[in-house]
Amino acid sequence: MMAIESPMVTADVIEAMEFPDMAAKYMVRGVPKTIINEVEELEGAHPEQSVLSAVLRAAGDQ
Amino acid sequence: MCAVGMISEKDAGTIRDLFEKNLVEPVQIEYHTQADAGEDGDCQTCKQTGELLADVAALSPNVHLHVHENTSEVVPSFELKGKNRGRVRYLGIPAGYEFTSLIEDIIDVSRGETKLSAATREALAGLKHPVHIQVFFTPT
Repeated sequence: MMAIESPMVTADVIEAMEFPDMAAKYMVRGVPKTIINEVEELEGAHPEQSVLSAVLRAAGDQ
Repeated sequence: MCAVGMISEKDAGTIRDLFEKNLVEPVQIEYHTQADAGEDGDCQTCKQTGELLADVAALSPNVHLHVHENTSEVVPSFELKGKNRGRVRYLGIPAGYEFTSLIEDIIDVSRGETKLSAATREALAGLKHPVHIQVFFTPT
């Protein structure tokens, strides 16, 4: 949803079983797993505020 | 009403209604696949993904599928284009729960708006650096 609102955001929704190399790179064991700018990780579902905080940290804007 | 390929009759009817009520601007689905994709090819899900996206596009005159073969993009993958400001891409077949997300994303891309709070939208408007969000799922 954040990618719909902001031109600065690119969101990729990735099916882990079809892309095992990518899943292995990010050590995806449980889903959903969210990686933001390769520096923030969120395991499982998270509330909006939590995701936003991670986005701002990853962007260096917090 | 009739079933559309990979989508059940019931679901097709529900999605058709949702699209009719909610789509505002056209949405383009730019789909990247292998030519002659089949179950014996390198891309095991390219054919299925293409068929599923074609079935979704058939449910509204405002959803258009464009197929690109043998591009440099990862396959199967597709991008939604409409009134979204950033990029929304799917890698792999959007099965299970992600299919629901796809339908919701098509609607949001068409409208250029989401259910994010005003505070979140304000914070996103202030982003000064690019953000790449990768969400991994498995079909359930």
